Amino acid sequence: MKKIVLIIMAIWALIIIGFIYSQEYTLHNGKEVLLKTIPVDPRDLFMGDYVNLSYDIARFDNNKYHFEKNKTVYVKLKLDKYNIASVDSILNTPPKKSLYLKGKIAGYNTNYIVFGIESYYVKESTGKDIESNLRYGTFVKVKIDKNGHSKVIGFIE
Amino acid sequence: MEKKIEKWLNNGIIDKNTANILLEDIKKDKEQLRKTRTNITIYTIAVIFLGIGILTFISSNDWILQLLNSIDLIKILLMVLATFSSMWGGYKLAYENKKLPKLGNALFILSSLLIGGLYALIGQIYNINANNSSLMFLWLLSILPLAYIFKNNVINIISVILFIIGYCFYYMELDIDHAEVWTIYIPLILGTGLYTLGNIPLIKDKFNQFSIIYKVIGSIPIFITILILTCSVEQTYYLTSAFYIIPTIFLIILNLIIYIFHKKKETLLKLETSFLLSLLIFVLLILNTINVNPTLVTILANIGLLLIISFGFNYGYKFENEKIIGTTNFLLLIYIITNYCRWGWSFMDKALFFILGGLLLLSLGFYLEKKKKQINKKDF
Repeated sequence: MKKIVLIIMAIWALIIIGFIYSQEYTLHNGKEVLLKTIPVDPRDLFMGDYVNLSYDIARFDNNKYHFEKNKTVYVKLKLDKYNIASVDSILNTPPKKSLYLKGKIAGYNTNYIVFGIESYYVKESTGKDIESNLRYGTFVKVKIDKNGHSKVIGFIE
Repeated sequence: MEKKIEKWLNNGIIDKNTANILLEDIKKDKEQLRKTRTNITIYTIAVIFLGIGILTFISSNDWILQLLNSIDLIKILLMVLATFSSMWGGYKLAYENKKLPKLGNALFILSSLLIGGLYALIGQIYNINANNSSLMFLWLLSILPLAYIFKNNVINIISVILFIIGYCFYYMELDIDHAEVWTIYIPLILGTGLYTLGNIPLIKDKFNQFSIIYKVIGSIPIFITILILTCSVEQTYYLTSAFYIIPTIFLIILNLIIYIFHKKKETLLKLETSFLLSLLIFVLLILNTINVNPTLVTILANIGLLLIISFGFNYGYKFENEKIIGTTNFLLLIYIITNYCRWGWSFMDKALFFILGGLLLLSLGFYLEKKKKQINKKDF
């Protein structure tokens, strides 16, 4: 029984380390860019206060691109001199040697891409203030690694 | 047991003195069991309080950040320490020293809550939405070995809840805007899925308590969905996406495999498998039909419910199982009340509606009580 308990604990430890490593990899090896965003709909569910981020680069023209719901897409990015990212093209396969973000076409809206960086946790009871202060938009600092995975680092307020 | 002792005494198998000793022993055992149950309840409530306390401690970003000076690593280390020490403490108390087995098991439950809190904390630190299916399934997979190895019912119930939440989150993440998914597909597939788990030979033979939990929890959404279908049917449930078809076909195949692998093919298993397969084929057909015939679906739903109820009574009376009879009584009552309200309210005078309803329920109660008494008499 002792061995089994130790094995379970070892598996838990491996999961925790793997979870942290996968997140830290993007933070340490990713390229920092700025994305224009509007914080919307702060909600208070399981994990305290957070704001939902709606990115400019997430919306695209349905006349130019047509994708099915829930399809994985790769957004090739171009950067200006301030490192502000904008969409170069939206592809079905990851582009070679270019900075890109991996995302998924939303199920509810086929001209919107979800990147998995739409939540940003903030101090308790500050979500609504952030939303009202930044309602005209702001920039979010994001790290993007070579596999298109991304992590939010913070706001530019 | 008391009834059996009385029976043995009447039949002359035991004398009055032996009967008194046995009855005294049973009384003591019952008292001991009551105390143990109180202990388990206190421990369970205590660990749930502790678990919730630690989870809210994490979610209260404000003061925790001030307290720990924004060092994420310390937060993670504290949670790791709490989780692992609770698991190790549980093992020591319940299995190595065996001094406080109830407290030990309670600590196992606490560790199974804390590991989820720990994943959520890491998610929060890295801005990953905590309300996602992957996190729930990761939590579920982490605690499932604890439930099975230590045969812990509470952890098993937590794992069933996580499975249900994770499954619902998965379909919410797909963001497919069809109400039918929630009214028919998800409850039926969740219910049949859980019920199927309860029929897996290994679980049924070695973890019978878990098997019953899966079946009871699985039956609830199945019954409610069929009951709703007896009253209200949409024009269409047309959903041809692979996200719906594949899990349904998978469950059909799984049920067939489970049936083949069962050594003893009892009548109950045959009936359960036939019912689950019929239900899954019904789901498959209804998802692929553009225009549903509401009358046909209503008739099928009524037949399905009446089959469940007749089977419940037949099985319950055949094996003289009061629990099954009681549950079936309850199901019959819900079915009658639903249909009576549905039809009676619109067609009858309101006074007549209540008078007839009351009389109907009284007669039903009288008949069922009489049947129950017959079983009790047979016991003697």
